[in-house]
Amino acid sequence: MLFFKKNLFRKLVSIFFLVFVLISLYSTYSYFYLEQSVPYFVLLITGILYSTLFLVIYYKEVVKPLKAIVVEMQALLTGNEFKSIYSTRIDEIGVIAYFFNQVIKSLGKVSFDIKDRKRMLEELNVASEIQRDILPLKNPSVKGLSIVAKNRSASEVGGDSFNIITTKDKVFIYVGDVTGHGVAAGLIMTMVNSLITVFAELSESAYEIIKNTNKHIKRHIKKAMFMTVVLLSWDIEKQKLTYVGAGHEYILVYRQSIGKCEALKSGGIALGMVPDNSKLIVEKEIILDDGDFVILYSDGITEARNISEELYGLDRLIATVNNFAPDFNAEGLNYKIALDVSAFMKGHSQDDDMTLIVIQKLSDTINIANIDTPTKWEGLT
Amino acid sequence: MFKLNFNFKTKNKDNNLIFIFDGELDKYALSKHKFEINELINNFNKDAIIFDFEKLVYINSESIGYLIQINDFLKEKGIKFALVGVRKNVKDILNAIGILEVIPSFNNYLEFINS
Repeated sequence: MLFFKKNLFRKLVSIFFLVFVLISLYSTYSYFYLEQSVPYFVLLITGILYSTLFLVIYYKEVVKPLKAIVVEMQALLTGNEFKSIYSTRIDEIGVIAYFFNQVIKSLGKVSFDIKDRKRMLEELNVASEIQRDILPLKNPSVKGLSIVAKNRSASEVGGDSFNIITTKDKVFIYVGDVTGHGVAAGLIMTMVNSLITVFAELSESAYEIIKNTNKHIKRHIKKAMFMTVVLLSWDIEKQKLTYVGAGHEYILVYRQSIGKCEALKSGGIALGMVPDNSKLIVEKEIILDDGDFVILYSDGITEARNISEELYGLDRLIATVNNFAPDFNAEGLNYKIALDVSAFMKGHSQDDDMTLIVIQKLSDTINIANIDTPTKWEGLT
Repeated sequence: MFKLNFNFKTKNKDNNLIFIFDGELDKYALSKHKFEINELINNFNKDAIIFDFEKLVYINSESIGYLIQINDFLKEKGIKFALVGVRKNVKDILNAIGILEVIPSFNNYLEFINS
């Protein structure tokens, strides 16, 4: 009964094997009991049968399964469609088939991870685009000032923020830096930018804007995170510049009359550190003459490192300003500083976001100095 | 660039736990040592935790954020937190951000005790 359950190949092999055994038995019987030599044709048939049987088994059990595996492997390696190999064998062929199946299973997982990573990268790009849309893409024209802002993020979503907000009587210019960079920093930067923009519409005082922004941001910020900001307020009619610091970097002021750059402490306390910063911040005035510069920056500039791990530092930044401010306008000075930082960093990756805003006070007769220059820090590595 | 020029050790004195920092506390050093520092702070239940910054030559903004986190945590637990021996360049950074308005700083441990 077992015989009938077998497939055709097994039946044929069994019949073949049975005939082979019968011939062998006959040969043995005739040689030992009848003492007759085995006829040549019997030996010949036995040999042919034996060889055929061996070849058939070898082809069916070794060559064919191996060929199937090789075909699937070739498909896998050439990027064509492939499928897993079904085998119940526990010999070497079975091991190779099992190994192949494991490989394609792993490849499937890797392929999924790559697709997932691609999706995440696409989402990060969207976040990056949203962030870029929030930051001003062009430097606006402001009566009495030439403003050139440039920004370069260290990752897809950066923690540096800046904006130039024009209201009825004033222009507010701020630069801010959230601890770290990446998605969390980018989200806080987005929140702060929205709050400053909204409060700038509601209040004419830089002090009130920073106070109210801190009050709202403190509720949503993680304990280990904060954002340093310095906000300048330019009174268009009075041609008066004031600032409020919230724990940000120094404000550099280059005075043409003395040909020297001074560093003013922005003061205050970073946003998100205390629930109420009203007693820790103060609004101060910066008196400017025509041609004087005010430079705002994020720590990505001063903490840029070279291949020897040295910091670019405040002293180097001041020296660069002193070097180029006498001969350049805001656009040129911004470019020269960026060029100097990039040259210093040569061979070292950018670790942090960089923002650089150069503002020059213009004489009353000049209204517009720079028209629609882009804010993206491009062309320099 | 991965840097390893940072280390810290601790000592107990007068019911206080003193962390002595040495080197540059940047994001790599912070991520490497944060868990260990957190463990020590979490298990401390006495008077004060002191960060000795005499040998600390650099601190980055994320580490400053971490100081605020520790300050808030210890405040809730009723444990004092102070910095001692902060170098001028580090003090300038901390001052600029305004953190010394929140976390007290002393020239040395003795000054902290006398305060």
